[in-house]
Amino acid sequence: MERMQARRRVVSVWLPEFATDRLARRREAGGPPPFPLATPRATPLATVAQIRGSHRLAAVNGAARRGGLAPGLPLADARALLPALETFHANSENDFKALENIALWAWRYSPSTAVDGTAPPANHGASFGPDCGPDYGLWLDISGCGHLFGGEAQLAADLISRLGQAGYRAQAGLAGTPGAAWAVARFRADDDTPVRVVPPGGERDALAPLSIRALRLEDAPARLLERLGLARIGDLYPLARSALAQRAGLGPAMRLDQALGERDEPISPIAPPPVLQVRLKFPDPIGLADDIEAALDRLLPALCGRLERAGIGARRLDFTLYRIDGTVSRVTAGTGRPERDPDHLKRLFREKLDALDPGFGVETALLATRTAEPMAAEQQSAGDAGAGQDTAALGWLIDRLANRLGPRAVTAIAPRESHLPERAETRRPLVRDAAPAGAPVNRNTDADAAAAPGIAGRAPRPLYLLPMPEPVDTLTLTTGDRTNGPPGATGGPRSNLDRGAPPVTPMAFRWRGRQHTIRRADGPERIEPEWWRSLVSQGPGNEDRPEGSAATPDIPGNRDYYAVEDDRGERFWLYRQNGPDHAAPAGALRPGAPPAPGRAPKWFLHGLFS
Amino acid sequence: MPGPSTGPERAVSPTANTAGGTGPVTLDVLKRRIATLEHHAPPTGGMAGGTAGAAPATVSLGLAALDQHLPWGGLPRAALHEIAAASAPAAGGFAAALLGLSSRAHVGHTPGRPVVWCRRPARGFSPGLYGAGLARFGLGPGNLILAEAGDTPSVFWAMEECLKSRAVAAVLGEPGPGGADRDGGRALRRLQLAAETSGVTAFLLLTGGARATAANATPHAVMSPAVTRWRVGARPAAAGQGDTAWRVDLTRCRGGGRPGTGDVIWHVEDGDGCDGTYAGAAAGGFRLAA
Repeated sequence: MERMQARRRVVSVWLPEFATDRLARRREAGGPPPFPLATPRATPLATVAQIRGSHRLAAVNGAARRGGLAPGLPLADARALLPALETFHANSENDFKALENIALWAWRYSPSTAVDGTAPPANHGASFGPDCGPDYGLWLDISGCGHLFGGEAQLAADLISRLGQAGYRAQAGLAGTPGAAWAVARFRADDDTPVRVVPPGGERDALAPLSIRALRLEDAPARLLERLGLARIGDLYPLARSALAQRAGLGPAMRLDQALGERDEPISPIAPPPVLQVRLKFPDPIGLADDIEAALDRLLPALCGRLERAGIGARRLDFTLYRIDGTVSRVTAGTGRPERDPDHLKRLFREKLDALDPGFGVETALLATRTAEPMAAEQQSAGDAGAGQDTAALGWLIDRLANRLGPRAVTAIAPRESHLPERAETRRPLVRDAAPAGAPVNRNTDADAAAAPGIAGRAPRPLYLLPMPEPVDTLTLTTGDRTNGPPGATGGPRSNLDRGAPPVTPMAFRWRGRQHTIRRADGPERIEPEWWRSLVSQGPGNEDRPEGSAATPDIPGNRDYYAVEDDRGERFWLYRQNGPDHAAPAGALRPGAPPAPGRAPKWFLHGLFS
Repeated sequence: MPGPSTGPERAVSPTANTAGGTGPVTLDVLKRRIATLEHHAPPTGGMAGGTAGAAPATVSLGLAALDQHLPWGGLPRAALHEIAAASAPAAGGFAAALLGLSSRAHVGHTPGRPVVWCRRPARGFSPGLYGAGLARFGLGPGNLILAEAGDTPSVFWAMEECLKSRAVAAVLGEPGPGGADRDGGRALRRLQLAAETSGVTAFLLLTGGARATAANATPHAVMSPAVTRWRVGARPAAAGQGDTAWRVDLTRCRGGGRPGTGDVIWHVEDGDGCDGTYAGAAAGGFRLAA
């Protein structure tokens, strides 16, 4: 046992009537009182789901349970037993969303909280077996947090009492392992206290009298053990783990080891715990926008001071309001590089404060750094001359733009190695999580340049590229020779629309309803399809197809690009799509093959020259 | 040799600033004073720093005929400039050229100081900017930041943020079709004031919509606070491939400048502009069309 480390302490919260509590809360939130403070739950409520072909109860509240209802009961029977029953459709998706919101709210107690809704149904006492809905609860790893609330038992009691005020019936277990906490939260041999605390090291004794169902077992091994007369957890202690595993599988042995702390069981928090956080508790709930901004003004310097002492800068910040009705409202700001300047961070949040909803009042405000990176001390102030200041100011500008326009809206062009024009470059967001510190624009230039060595650069490229090459009707000269000289200024003899056999540069084309007479043409520049891409991404038999990306028409073959100029001086980037030779046997790779005679070439407009 | 040949001669008129009528200038000064009073801005000496400003207060266009036509001997840096489209790609190219020149005009910055191009995202049929084409104008990953804004107010907001930050050399905004019409001159006046205060150049690229198509004579255009207003269309190129030719109209010019018309080409030295990386692309420069 590591004496030096803080002992792990875990709270498991059980919300036995979560589904119905949530619906009752939502129903009563419509009118005054705004939130159900200890509302007597006299109305029997139940949720209904389609189970095994019939409507059955999925969850019931206390009043319904007292009326003799239980999960799994057919709805018709339930109505007969309790005509006053109010029913709702079960919606476990919304249940989980609400549960996640509560887990976020529980950050006021601990930075590491998790949703506990995936455990198999507890089934204790229910005769309908696995039919009842998921069992809802929370995990809180409160190691080292208890002293903030006057002790860990007080913390758990405060948690249960606030949940109760918000309308959720809850009871908690507090132990040194998640498994033991889970067990004592739900399975009580005797008492009905809202919080059951297992003293450090007392797991073994506390669990012994409990049913083996408290080990979160699946149904089959649990039934087996019960048939063997091993109904209590204490009955398992004398058994060798190997014998237990041989009889009942690995599950019970593993769960037992986890509950007793002999095997580690991590809980996966809903979000990474913050690097640093500061909080502000209000003596009275606040709700005005000015007050919220004032709270942020007080929290930011405090957080930035701690960041500076730690030698780090924030990359992602959460500003969370804990409302008195047990819900949270949160905004997030991201930065392109580590920051700890309160004024700059304030500007990032200012755009977003409108999105915060204080509800009926805010009791606590929390500012947390979720992601941080090392940051040198000199990048502190801005405004004066100097290259470092320039870089800092540019980073701030990019942050501000990205925070309003979206992190993917502020980009730099990044060339890529590809022949296809639409694939030859991409946009690199300037604000991203893994971006190195420093000048966001200039420093990546070299890397990008090295990554794109082979783009053919001599032929001119247009300033604008269409999102998708657009087919154009062309008027083509149907002479026999394949030389690509500029066509004559007068209309071509015997020209027909889009049917010239050996294609040359068209005389004219029609795009978006407008006719363009071509005066000058440069080209062709042949661009081969990236046949190796199709080998990777397509199955056999489709070898000639370029990858069907969004920007590529689904036509195989290579392309001949022409820069053409019309009689008004407007310049376009046209290409002729050369079809594959259909006479070739399937699977033959002939990327450089000339277009098959008799097939009309397709012309596309791909870009606009300035 | 297609194209009219009278353009260059008309463009070269170095006496423009003395020959300008006194009437509009006086009116301008009065308007400026009113604007200064309204916005509580520190009074500046003349129009956008005026001719009395320091040397780096202008961006040289690299072509004497153009520079000398402007009363400031170049494009004033702390100001708003409008580029209207007679042909949208051509106006975009001219705007890109001005943006690239603004980036390069700072000595000691090899890739050029950062500049921002803010436009609506390319969706559906609207063409998107292509990096290999931008590189011809000296805009690349080393100095160009692209910002996509979902609506016209966001474009103006982003431009103003850039103008206030002083971290960039210039910002080019495309409010989209009809954008500048709908939001009127107020947003533009804010941009002009922000540019005056910070010294960051603002370019407004107007493609489509009434403002871009109406030549100059609408009352709205007179109300615009822009210091220069250009109208750019396509012009058949005569020289070798790769050159880009424009018909450029200077339709308004404050500070006593005179309107003018000229044909210019954007010439890229072989191997300079598009070396495949567009990193710190050397780009080309303006030349007079033959």
